[in-house]
Amino acid sequence: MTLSLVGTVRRGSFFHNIDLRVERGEVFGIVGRNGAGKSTLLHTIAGLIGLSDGELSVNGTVWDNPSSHTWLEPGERSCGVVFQDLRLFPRMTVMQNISFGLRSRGIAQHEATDRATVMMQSVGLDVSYSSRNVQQLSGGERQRVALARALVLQPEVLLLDEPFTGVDQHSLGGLRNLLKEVVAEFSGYVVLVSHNQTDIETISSRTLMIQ
Amino acid sequence: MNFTLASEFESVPHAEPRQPWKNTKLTILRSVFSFTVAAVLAALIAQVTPLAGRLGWFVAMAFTFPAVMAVVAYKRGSRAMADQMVTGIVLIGFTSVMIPWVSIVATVISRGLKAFYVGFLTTDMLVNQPDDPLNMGGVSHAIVGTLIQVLLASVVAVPLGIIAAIYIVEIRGRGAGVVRFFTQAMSGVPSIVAGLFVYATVVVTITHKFNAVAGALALAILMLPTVARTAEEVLKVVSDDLRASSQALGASQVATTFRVVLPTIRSGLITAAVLGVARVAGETAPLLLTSQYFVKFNTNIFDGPMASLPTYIFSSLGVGTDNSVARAWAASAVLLTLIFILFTIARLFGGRNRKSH
Amino acid sequence: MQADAELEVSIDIPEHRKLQVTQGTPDRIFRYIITTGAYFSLAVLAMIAGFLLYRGFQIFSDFGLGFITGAKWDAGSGDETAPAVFGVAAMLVGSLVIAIMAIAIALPFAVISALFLEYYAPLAIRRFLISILDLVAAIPSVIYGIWGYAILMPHVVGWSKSLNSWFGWFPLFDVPAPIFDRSPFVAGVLLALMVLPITTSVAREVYSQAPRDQIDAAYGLGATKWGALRTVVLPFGKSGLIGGAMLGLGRALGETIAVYLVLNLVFKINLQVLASAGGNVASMIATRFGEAGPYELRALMAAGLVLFLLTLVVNALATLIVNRSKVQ
Repeated sequence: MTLSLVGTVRRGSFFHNIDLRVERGEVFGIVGRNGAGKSTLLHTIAGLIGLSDGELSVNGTVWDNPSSHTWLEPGERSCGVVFQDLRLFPRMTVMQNISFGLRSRGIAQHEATDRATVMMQSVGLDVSYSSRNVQQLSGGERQRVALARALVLQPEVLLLDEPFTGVDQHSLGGLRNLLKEVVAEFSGYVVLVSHNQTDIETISSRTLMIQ
Repeated sequence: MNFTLASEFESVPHAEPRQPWKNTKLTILRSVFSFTVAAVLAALIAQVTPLAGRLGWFVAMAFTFPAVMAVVAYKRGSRAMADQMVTGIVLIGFTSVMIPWVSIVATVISRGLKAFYVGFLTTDMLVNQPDDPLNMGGVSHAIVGTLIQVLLASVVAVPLGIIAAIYIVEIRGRGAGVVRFFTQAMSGVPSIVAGLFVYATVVVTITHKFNAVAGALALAILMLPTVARTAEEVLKVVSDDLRASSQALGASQVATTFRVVLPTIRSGLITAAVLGVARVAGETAPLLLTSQYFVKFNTNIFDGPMASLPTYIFSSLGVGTDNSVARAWAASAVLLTLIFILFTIARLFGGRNRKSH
Repeated sequence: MQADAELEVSIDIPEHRKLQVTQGTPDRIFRYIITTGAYFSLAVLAMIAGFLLYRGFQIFSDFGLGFITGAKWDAGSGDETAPAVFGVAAMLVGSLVIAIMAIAIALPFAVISALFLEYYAPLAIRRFLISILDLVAAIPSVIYGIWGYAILMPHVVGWSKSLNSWFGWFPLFDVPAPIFDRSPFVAGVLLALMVLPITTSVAREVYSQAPRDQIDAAYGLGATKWGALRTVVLPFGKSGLIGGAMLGLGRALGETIAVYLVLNLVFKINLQVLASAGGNVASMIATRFGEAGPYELRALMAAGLVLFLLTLVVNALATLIVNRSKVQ
């Protein structure tokens, strides 16, 4: 049971060569400076960027392989993403944000709401927040919404892109503990990238430095 | 375990792809398949309903194509069906928008050619009646009249438009926002109002007669906003470094503007002028109130009506006989060709301008 | 040491100076000329309003508010028995009916075209299609008119008949007599086509500025293309689209020749859009101008002023909305 990503990503005249294998249950941390291609790597797994050659497979299922014309859209991949700078939908409430992925997968409104409510509680968000606009929240709360939005999909792969940026100092500790808990319970693959080595080392089971 | 993540020129920002979506072979195949099925279905529907002809088939297609697209996506769930249906609607919708424009160009050219002969461009209507056979008479006077009035309009509107742009971009005066706003507002002045205004001021008060200068002034009012907006966009492309380095060398603002900034965007300014001309070359309403129409070329721009292509078309339509309407189509073809040529010129200069930066 | 001492003596630290940009005389003249020229457009707008008011003032004082509310337009016989009566109500209503109809028809197609150009069209032909859009925006209205009369009208008459036979019970689609050509509906369809390019290009420009991050986020969370467009792009572009629609409305209100050619001018407030009777202020001015006497000319000036102010307000609002939505 592995997540395997071997191949090349091209964007214009630039390219990244990637060779990555993550075992199931592992929390894989990647540390590197900005611009080293960390986000590109996560976006490739999530399906926002296609491989130009090579293969991405999870548990033996091929998600992306240009030579065999295999391509799963993000909606068909069992994958949750917490984006760098979060990218919450500004015109939506907390509830609409968290249930967005479920609704996009065709899950009925009431079931999506139920699952999102449960998830809100497990990431430490009060249920009374559900009808608030996400722009009214603090940095730490927004981070929890983003985390809930990814976890509520019950994904096989969890991708965390700089999960501690934009969080104020006093909610940082709580968030770090939460993330530790979440990751410890998580049975699939976690890939976590950051430019800050200490952030990564407290959570991940294996850390890699890239230039 | 093995890991490398090496990128070339990694510090340089990436050329981001415009959209995250991928058109895979499979999705394209699905669309082509849906199109074929929908086309056949639409043909069948057109057979059994009152929808007739190619247009009837197309109307049926507007329903069958999105429907088939959706049905093909059935296995992938309701969201995918909605997505595919919208794709179908967007494709059909855009195609249906193009149909009338294709029809306009095709009709004008095909009907225009019927009344067209070489002499059409070189003779006027002085000795011919609008209803004369189609191998007599022509639009030479209207072509010359249009060119003269448009040229005169440019003499007024191009400098003023560029001045407005210089004020907004170079001087950045306190009123830059106001000037831009009112220049934009001016582009909404109905053409008939521009004509009425020039009639009330120039024709009634000064010349007491229809004349080409009045027509040109009405056109200038309509032309100015187009020139100003295009010139502003072009001026904004000039980097501030260029201005700063010129002024650091001791050049005055006048010298910077005229010797450094304007020469680097010369072709862009030509584009602005040509787009302005294209905007007004087909204007009819203001000319009806100012320069009117006359059967032959008038050498005096201050005295007496002067023909133009749009007013020629309008007056030929007014006569209403088969031959005069045919002449109107032929003149329309000439006018449309003129405007398309102007547009191509503007694009060519615009293209060259962009490359030089 | 001695060198240092000497240096200390020789250094004369000047007073803190204010950085001053000296403006030469040529620059001042240059600025003066440019500023004057730039305000020309403002002056023209003021002069249009001023002159039309000046020429049409007698009409406003003779008829007062009746000029706006009256529907009758009759130059009279010139003597006491049949005095002239001028009112633009029928034409104003006609202008609004046609223009609103045009926007209502054009708007969905503008949204679809803008989405197509920005998010569906292959990149290779996108630029080409956008320049086509610019090009058709420059097709003269007299050509739209002649094509509208010869080609479009027969089709629209067919649609009118169907509309009337199915929905004739609805007052707007009723007709006094089964004559369907040169109706407000025909003019509305033609104008829809004429305002489509400007509305589409404003919508496209606004849509192109929708945040790429958000689109990625929606897609990455599993939304389809349509899901992402509906969640991110359409809400983002809403106000810009309204601005674009109003710009189109302004154009449609002032259109003259195309309407002249496809609409039967009748001085009566007519809301039965399929019936062969209507008009708008602009085409009415063009129609009456040729045979108008001095008094009616003043009335035409007054009508021109009303049209000018109406379009100015619509356009100013539209420009404000579009500019604001671009800033976001």
